[in-house]
Amino acid sequence: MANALFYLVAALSVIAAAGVVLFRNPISNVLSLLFAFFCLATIYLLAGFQFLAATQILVYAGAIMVLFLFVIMLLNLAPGPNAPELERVGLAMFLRRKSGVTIVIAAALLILGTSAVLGTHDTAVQAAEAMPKKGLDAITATPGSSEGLAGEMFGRYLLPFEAISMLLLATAVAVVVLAKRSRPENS
Amino acid sequence: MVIESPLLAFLIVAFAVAGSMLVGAKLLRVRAKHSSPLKPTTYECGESPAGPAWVRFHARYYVVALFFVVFDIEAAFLFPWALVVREAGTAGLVAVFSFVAVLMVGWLWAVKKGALRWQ
Amino acid sequence: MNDIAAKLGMTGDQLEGLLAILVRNTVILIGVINVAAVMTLVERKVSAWMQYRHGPNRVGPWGLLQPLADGVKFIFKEVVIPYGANKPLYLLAPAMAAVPAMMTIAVIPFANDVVLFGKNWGPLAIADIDVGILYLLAIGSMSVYGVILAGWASNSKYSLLGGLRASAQMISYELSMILAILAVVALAGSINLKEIAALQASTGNPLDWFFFKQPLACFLLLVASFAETNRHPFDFAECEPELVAGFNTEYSAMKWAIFFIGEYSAMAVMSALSVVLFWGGWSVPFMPDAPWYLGFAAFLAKVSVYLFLFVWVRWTLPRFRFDQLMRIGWKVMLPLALLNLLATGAMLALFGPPGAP
Repeated sequence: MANALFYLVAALSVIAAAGVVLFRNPISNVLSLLFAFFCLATIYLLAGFQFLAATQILVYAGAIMVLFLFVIMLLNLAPGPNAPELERVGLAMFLRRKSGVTIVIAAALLILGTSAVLGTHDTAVQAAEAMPKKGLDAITATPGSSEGLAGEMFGRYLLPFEAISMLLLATAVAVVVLAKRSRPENS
Repeated sequence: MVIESPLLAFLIVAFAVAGSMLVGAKLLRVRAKHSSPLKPTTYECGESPAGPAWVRFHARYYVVALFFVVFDIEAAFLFPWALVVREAGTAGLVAVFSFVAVLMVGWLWAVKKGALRWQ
Repeated sequence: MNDIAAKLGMTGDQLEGLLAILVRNTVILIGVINVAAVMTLVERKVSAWMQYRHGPNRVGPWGLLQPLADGVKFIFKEVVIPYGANKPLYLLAPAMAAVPAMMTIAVIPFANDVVLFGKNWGPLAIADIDVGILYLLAIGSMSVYGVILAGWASNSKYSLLGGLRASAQMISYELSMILAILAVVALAGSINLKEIAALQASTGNPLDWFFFKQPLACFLLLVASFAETNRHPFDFAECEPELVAGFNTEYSAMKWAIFFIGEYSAMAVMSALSVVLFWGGWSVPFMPDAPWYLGFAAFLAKVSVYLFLFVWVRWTLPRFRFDQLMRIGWKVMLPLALLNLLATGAMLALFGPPGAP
């Protein structure tokens, strides 16, 4: 059951990810990505990572996608007389423009991804077998993934944890600087 | 079985309720006999709408959204700590306080620069 | 019973459990939708009472059938889709506004273990999951999309401005909400809502309720829930004098009603959450062994007080200005909630739990 659900959700997430690049309306792109995030969260849940799934939705779907929506609206990409001419995005564009660089990068990514999957396949299978066979029940059964995470956070990964605060600080500073620059033209 | 997971069962019931509502709405739908080209115009105090509706808005919305992302991630990191605050003890306390302190430096700076002011 | 179960290839107990889940889910879901309907009447009646007038009193005794009449009217109204609207998103937006509220109700424990027909059916909640609060926050953070999309898809300036304002407000106050809830999580050491309620209910002493340990967090959550549900004094989304009706200006008929079902359901969820976190959930004062139906009644009574508070505040406080709202959110609520959490954490880590549960 859990396996069938995994394949279903995995297929849906790939379709949603394709929608991100194939839809022409930017808002539809964002919604596709949102759906893909939900599929990913479901996959995390199926693997028993409840905290990760919740954070995926809380941070990516709840915060970062809202930011994306604001940016899209800010750039005024909506249809209308003043909207910039939107290039038709899709497979046809790549082929028509003969954009070799894009194709090479995409192919390289595909090869890299495939080889990474194949290379770690045995390890992944072992890890999956070592994992308790909970599947869907993990959603309701095991507590403790958050507690385990806390142990790792204050143990092995203390330094990266503190470094993240620096990263977030840099983000905050950058946005203040950007906001300052955009002020004179508007006020 | 699917249904044994209560959340999935809830999802199924929710879809059933929503689906029956949609079917009901389809059956009961009323179509107007007379229509006017003015009926679907958007509201603009009784005048004809002027210009595109998708107006450009101020960049400060973007600032708010980015600050939200920053502090949302902070909250997500504080979550596991809050759960094990007793076990984490003084060491966890020091780690989290320095984490928050660094972020609050950013917050203070933003307040001082007026980035959070909505003028 | 056992014959039917055998035909379906299940044991009698399995079928019983299945039926119990289906009945429970349907009852709670329909119950929440009805709370939204009843709230429309309560809102109008209480408003009328506060303004010394009658309010709805024509349909049924004391206007009790008014929500039904409204519902029928909504269903039969014509659906008008404005010019230039993005039709799929325009139709999707009301659903996106209402669904998160409906989904979050799943983890609220309404009562302790239900004992009926001599059998324990488990707690009265759709899903008693261990990461209840995380689930609630994650799904709750989706409610901002309905507002943004409604504003954007309507092709109207008022809608767009209302949607933008509402979404900026919702994300600003969501932070304080999360941090205020985290203080309770630290105190309880759990994110299972049923466990948090049980911690406060065990002795029957109302002083065990977390409000008395976290009054500031309770107040912050209250303010944040006004903002999250776009209610007075933070109702910038539909601030009539400036924005006509905000993000739902261009909506009519049932699509308009769904926004309000979503708003009232969100109010109910936020009230229920506050009751579970701060007011002992189903705990009946001085009756630690109260049967589940008394506990359920106590829970509903506490939620009703909260819902009344929502209406009361609406007619008592003036609306803030938008810059004031942002200042309160970012410069008062956020640092206060963070300080509260850190102080709670420091107390717990250094001195152990006060009055250990």
